[in-house]
Amino acid sequence: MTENTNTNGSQPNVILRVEGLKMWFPITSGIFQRTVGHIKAVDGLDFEIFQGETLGLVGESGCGKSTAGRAILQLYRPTAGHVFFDNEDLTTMKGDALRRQRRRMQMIFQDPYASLNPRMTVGAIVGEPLEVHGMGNKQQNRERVQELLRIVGLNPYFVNRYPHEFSGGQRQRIGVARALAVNPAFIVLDEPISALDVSIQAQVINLLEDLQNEFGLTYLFIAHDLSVVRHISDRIAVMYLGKIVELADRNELYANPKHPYTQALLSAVPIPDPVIEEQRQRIILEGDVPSPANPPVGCNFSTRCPQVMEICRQQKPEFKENSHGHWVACWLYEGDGAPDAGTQTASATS
Amino acid sequence: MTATAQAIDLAEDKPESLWGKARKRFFRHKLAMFGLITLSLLIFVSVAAPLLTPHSPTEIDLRSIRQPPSADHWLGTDGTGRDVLTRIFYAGRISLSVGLVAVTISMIIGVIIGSIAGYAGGKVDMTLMRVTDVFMTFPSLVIIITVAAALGPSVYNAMLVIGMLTWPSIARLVRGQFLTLREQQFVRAARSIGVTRGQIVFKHIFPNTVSSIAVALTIGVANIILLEASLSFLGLGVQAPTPSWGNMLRDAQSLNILQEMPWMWVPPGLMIALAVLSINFIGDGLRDALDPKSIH
Repeated sequence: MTENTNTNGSQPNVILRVEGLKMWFPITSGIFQRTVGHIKAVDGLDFEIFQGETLGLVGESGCGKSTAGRAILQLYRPTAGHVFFDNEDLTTMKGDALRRQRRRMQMIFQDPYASLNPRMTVGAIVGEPLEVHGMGNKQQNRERVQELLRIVGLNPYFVNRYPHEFSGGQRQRIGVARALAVNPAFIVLDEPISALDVSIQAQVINLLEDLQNEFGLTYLFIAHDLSVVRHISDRIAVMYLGKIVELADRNELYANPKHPYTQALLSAVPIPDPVIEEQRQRIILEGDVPSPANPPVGCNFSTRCPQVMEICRQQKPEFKENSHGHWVACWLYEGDGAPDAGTQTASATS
Repeated sequence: MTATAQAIDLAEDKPESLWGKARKRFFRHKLAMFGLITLSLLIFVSVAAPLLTPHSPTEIDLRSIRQPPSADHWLGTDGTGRDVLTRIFYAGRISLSVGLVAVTISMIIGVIIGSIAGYAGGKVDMTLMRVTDVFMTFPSLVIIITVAAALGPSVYNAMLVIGMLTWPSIARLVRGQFLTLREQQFVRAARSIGVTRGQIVFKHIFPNTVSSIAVALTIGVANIILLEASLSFLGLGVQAPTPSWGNMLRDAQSLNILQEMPWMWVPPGLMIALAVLSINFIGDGLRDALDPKSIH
């Protein structure tokens, strides 16, 4: 990465910087639990998130996007790499120092049914972060909990109820209230709406956007629904098999996808206009995603790429800035004639 | 909503606590209530035994040996002229307290080992579980016989040994629960908030295991009462003249007694069956009552 060494004036502040993040899970076998290999769920991520923006992280199931979110928040200890949050390296932090940092970064989970303790009241759930970080006395915290419930659009009357008395959308709001309790700066949203009904999804998305505007939050929005990501994100990163293959501004990415995988992904989105939809050509990918335990030697996408070249099978492409703010990891764009190559391939595939 | 929100009185919206609901469900459970009443009766007669009968459990009356039930001896007398009813009452003290003490011992060991193994996972888990497996493979009767031979048979030895031998199943249960709960999203959520490890265990994981532990506990008590009965029957548990339901059965081994004098063995056998059944019913009721998601 070139411009991340310090935050210069023209650039917005970098709140989170991820460098070479790897999260490998050991595969053990035998009675002695010998490690025989690794699931390379996240295999080298480099990106940064600017203050106040929403970075969308998309990819198909199993590409490691949720793992990436958890590794960033140190819910898993990364195998390698660094995560700088406000220029402090989270990966070297331990115990209390890390717990104190958790006040500023929170997470909203996918499944609103599983992410709330069934034996705690809503008040206890939302108030727990306040208690953990020793903020305020009992009375203040009670008022804060009621205020939070009001903020997320729930009746403060509900503080003494239990999670199972709520619908999915309401539960997700409880999860949002919990994440907001300690005034975080950064929130990882791990597919926060994919477990909800379509009718509820829009409400929660709007709530998240309102909260972002009101409190100046920074989001890492993990999802597989491209239209939702397009709606909410400022920039979008596309993941495939543990790596980011492309990262660009939202409009740039949708208008000018460079990586063949992104192109294939975007070609699968239906267009709500029958005339254009008629002409939409899907790029159908052959084969399956390789196992993350045994990724290809070359580019991870080389086994399925419609434009695969010899070099793709031998060497991994570097994740480079191709044009301003548009990063891509693909051999098609190596060398000086990159932008031209980009337009050529775009026209070749459409 | 804003107008109402300003004026809310939170005291009005206090739905019952989970425990309150569980209690209500439990009291509505017919079998569990039967079990609770029966067990309470058994406990009552054991505790209040001196007030209920004029006889002493160890009082030998050689003039009235093996008497059938009469006005003086409601359930007759045994081989040395002791009142069977009185002995049954006093035996309840021993049998029930052996069950309770032994189950407490096994519960403490089991919960500690199980939760450490389940929460820590990995190598710690593997080591502890192999130890548990070893304990599970011990043939319990053989061990108890050995201990009885080495330390002499007594109630306390029986309690201790039974407790030391029955914890593995509880450890396994608790470990399993911890393993599942540890990966639950709400536990991960707690971690992401910054909840300390101790609080995660005691506030988020443990309360969610209580219902299964309660069920295991009741079944454990029942099994231990049976085990004590078999031990005493074999002469390795509670020693005469102290009565226990098991050693009362032991006194009735001969065919002659079995055929001709049912008052000597039917009542203690019935007590064992009643105690075990009622405790199992209570366990059933607890399992249904403690599930926070049941809507009754």
